[in-house]
Amino acid sequence: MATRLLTLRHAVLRWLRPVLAGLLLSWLSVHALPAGAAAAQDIYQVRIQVAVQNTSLKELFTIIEDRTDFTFTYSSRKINLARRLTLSGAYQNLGVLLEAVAAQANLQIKQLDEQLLVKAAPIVAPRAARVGVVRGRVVDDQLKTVLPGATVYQKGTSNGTTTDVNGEFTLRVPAGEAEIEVTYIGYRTYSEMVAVPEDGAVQVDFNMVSDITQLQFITVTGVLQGQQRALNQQKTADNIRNVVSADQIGRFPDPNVAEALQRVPAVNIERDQGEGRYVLVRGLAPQFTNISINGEQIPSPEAGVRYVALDAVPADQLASIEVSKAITPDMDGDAIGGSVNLVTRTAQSEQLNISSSALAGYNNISGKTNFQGSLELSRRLFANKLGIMLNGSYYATERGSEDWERDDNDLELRDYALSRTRTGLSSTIDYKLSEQHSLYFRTLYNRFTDREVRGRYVFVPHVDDSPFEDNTVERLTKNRLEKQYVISYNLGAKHTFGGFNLDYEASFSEAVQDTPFDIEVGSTSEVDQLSIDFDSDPDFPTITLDDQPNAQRTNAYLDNSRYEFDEVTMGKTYARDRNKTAKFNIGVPYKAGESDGLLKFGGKVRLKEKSYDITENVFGYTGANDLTLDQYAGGDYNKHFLNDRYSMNPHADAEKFVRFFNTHREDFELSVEDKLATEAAEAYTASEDVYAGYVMTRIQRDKLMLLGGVRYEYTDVAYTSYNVINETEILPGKGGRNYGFLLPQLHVKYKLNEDLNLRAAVTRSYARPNFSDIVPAQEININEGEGTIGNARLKPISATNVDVLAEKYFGTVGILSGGVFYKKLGDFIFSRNFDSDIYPGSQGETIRLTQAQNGESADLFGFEVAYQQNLTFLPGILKGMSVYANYTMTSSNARIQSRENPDDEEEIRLPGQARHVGNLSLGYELGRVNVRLSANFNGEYISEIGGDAREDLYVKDRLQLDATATITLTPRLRFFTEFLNLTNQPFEVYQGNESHYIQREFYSWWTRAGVKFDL
Amino acid sequence: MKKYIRNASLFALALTFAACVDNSLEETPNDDNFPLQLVLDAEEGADLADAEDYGVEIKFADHLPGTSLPATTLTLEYSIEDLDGTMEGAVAVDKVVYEVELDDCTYERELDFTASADGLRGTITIAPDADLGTVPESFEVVFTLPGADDTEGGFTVVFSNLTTTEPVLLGSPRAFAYEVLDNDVAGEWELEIATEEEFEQFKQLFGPVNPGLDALSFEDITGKVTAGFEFEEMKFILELAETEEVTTCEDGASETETENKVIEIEAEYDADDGELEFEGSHPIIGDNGLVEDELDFLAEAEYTQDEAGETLSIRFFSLVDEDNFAEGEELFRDDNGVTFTFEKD
Repeated sequence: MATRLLTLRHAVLRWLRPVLAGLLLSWLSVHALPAGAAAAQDIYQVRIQVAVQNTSLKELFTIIEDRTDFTFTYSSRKINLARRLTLSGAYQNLGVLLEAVAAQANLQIKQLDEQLLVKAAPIVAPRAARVGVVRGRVVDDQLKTVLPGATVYQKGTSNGTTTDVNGEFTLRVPAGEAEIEVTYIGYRTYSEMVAVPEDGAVQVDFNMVSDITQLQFITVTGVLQGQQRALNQQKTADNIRNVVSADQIGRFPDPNVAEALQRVPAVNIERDQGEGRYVLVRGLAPQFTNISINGEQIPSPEAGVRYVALDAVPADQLASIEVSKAITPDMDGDAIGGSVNLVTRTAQSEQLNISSSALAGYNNISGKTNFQGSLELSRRLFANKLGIMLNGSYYATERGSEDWERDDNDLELRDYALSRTRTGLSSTIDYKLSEQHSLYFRTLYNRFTDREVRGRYVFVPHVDDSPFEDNTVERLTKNRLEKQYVISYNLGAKHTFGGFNLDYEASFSEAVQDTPFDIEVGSTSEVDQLSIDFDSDPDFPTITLDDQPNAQRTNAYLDNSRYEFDEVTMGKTYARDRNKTAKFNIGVPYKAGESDGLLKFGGKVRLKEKSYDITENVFGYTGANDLTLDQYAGGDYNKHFLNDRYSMNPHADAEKFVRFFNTHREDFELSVEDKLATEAAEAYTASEDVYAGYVMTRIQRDKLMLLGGVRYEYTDVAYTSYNVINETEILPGKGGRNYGFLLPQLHVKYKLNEDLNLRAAVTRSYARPNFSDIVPAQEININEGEGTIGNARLKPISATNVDVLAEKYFGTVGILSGGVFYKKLGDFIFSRNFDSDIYPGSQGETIRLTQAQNGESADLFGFEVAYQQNLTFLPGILKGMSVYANYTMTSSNARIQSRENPDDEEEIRLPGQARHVGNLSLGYELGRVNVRLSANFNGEYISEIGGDAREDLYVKDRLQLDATATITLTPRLRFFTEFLNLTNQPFEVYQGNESHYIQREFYSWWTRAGVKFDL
Repeated sequence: MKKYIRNASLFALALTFAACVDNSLEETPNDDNFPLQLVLDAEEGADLADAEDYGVEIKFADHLPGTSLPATTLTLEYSIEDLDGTMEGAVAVDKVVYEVELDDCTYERELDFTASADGLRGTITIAPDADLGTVPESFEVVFTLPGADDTEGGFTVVFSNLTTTEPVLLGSPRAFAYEVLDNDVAGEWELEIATEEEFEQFKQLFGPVNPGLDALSFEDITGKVTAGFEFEEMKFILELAETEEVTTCEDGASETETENKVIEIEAEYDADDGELEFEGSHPIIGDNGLVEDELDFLAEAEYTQDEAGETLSIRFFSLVDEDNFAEGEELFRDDNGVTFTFEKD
């Protein structure tokens, strides 16, 4: 550890030395200027009064030359004489006046006798004594809501900044009077003269007024505001980024963060029971996307992976969601697909704000209701110094699904009933020590519970006439409760000093997945005749059992008394992932000639501990009396499964069975070997320490913004687990490795005009392997000559990313954007089969091992287009129409070991990569009523790579249609209703070719209606 | 309006706290403690009519590593019920025995028991063994039987009321049903393979399910094959010419004998009305010479006996396993059958 810290210290010092040297040189050059001035008539002795407004530099020079004996000497190629300046006139002498001119126009002016030599100023650190800070917020004049993403500029210069998610900004300007200009899509441009104190700060709030001429016919509601906020943040971002604001989420009927993200270009989602869960950015699997809250990575509650199930996070908690498709050096580098940052809210007003919502709904398949409530209280106290925001939300839904699955010749009917709750509690306390210094403490608590009852009928026909098999029907009923918690605490501060900004944060976060019970009761029955026809109707296979069709209520498979108890599995699992993080960032503004720049550097340490414990007890029944399903069946079940195509009867009732089990404990015998092998093979502990540092600079010269820098991340990982040999012998094992990544990043943004940006980025990033692949747990079956082993030496996937994007913003709150992206992935991870005699427990026997290994490389190429606009230019009532559309095409190939011939290579499409992803949403606004029909298309993708191409599993493309309607009674009170999955689109999986379905799962439609209001 | 909004806010707040409600089971499964279970090895058994005794094994079921057997005394009650046929008045517990292995030598020791006057009820005292420090892992309750050639009927032994201060349950099964083994083929039979052709037939039949047999030649065997048909299970034992020194040690007395090596083929059987079916399993040896898998096999045959019951002729028609059962793929198939004639041993 000491060696690593020393290495890190050396690396930091290596970066700091040139930075400090640059700063010293800049300071010397600035302070050397006055020393060089020497003349008979000192300019500081020459009294002069000049007051000009928006006057060009050339005109100003002429005025000064006319009123004094001095003459300016300069090169017109190096000086921008057209630059316009404003001087208040309150200057005591020519020297002070010229200092103000030099500061505003970024010049060096040197007196040589009666000549004033003028040249562009070199890159210098600002002189603290001459610079002041303008801090403040940009708010909507009518709604008094903050406007994030506003452009705040010192007029006539390239010196500017943007407001953060709280609408706040900090802008350094020369002390004295400065005209500050604010622009925001959908609002009138606003400017105001501000007196900036030397070495101090001034607080200003800018009130923006909607641009009625642009937004005619549109009622400015929270929905439109959300759209404005998102687009403004996107427009002013330094990197290629999509932003979804909280209000914007309300445009679509998306109850959780994952579903809100599916509307973003180049984002698609994986669903669970019809609800979005995992996010895939640019066609890359979920582990390639970094998920963070307020810029800090969230640990994953799940055992084997790093990525976070976003259905656990209620959308109500957030101020916005940012999807960065090209990362900057100050962001975590393990984000090949992109980085999703969830930004929580902060108190904005000295008035007590109460925002609340109450909803209720209905799920057609379960026939049950769902409801949701949220409440947010926020207020700033003590003269705006202390802000407190408290947010709570709760969502409960009773869902279900109807599913059939095929496994070779077997057919399964699955009847799901789920009770899900999502609870979100968050708070932000921030305190402004002064205008330059503030502290914050953020807390977040998310709890997701998922109680699932799954009743299965498994029809196993005796198709090959084997005398060793019978026609069987198995009944398996699973009943489990899964609880996920994500907790995070962030304590940090932001400081604005004369010459630099400093922010730092310490955070603790923990994610837990606790499954306190997971019970599956199995029962079996043998039948004389059983056949399944998958071909006549591939959508819905038919069963004939004892010569009766599947829908017949008298069919023998419905007789619960025929099913004998087989075994019961009772399990519980506990997975925990804990992060302790500390980080700091320092930003040093500077000027380089006409350009404004920011030099930024920082460091970060993240210590992660992850563990997984499992208990799995399988009991057989040894009691003397017969135990059949009818004795322990009960509870709800689907009485109209797949529109009455199949019949069902009550499943095993876990409550009833557990009571029987507890009172007849002596009649159940534990399978000891299975318990030991399963628990040992899956349990593990891991630690992962990450040390990172970066340096970057952002420079703005007129319309061009350049952002470049480098980040270094060093990771040290260690694991402990067990090796299970021949299902009986259990040996402890451990592993670990360390690796470092140097990640250079370059971003270019060129503003062709106020509404048109061109962007390009070349970045390096990587993706750490899933824990399930690297933990050295091994299952070796020497007798069978095969085994699966973890690979603690697995290298992360590295990537070089190229992005080019053009974006045109419309004053009517819209955007047209298009771009291309390319990713070159190195050390691609795939599952490799190979023969080896080196493995735990080996006595020289060569066996076939399966292990995740690094492959050669993979390429991914794509383009995306997005268009959204309020069509106010259309005639008549058509003006109320709006459109939101995006489409992404992605193509990929990865080179892996050939599945036909292990010595060859073959190319495959990246798992999880959909070729076509898109959204089309049409809205219509008539007065205070807004209706919207939204379609989300997710193209087919490979979900699992099989033993050969014919066994590859594909998730079929899916088009979901949703509708929402909103009535805005007042800007603070809205009624709305939502309908989801109107066309009952199933989740479908096929194997090899589209005619060979192996799964079709239906969720039917569900709806919600309610009210949202603000006080 | 404000009133309604405030009420709605309170409602929303109440919903938020409603989240604390856990969606759990009403009754928690008692699956995370693992008491030891004392169980019978079988629920039923049988022996030939002239059997003079029969042992019922009682043992501790599989338990987790690190779990110790009881170091204190347990008692277990038994009762002999449902006696019928000639069993009445003839069945009682003779002894309760267990084995201890010390220094590669097996010692048989007894547990105390008390019995009622009619011998049909009693209590077994399962005391810790001085050498083991715990009670034995298994023991056998030996019952006396009539021992006559004309014995018929059966009985049931029920075990109950396990008393102990330690976490031990009396598991299932708790009753054992005994009956006289009365199928036609029961008992010990002997076949003499006298010719190479006969051996090749035997090998052709059973070689596919026994790699050791498949590798033998006629010179490797003595020709003696025994078939022992017990309760539901049988065993063919083929004696090899090769011998080995076998040392046994029982109750402190060590003895070394020279014995012929044997090859055994075990199967469950069902003999009914002249038809005989064998069901067993055989190992599949992988390329590395280790057992890669185990497959079930099924052999179909017919049997006949002479009037005196001194010879048993078994005619085998087919032998298939899980991977080779389709027509033409059988491990053995002869529509006319291959007959082996055994004599009463």
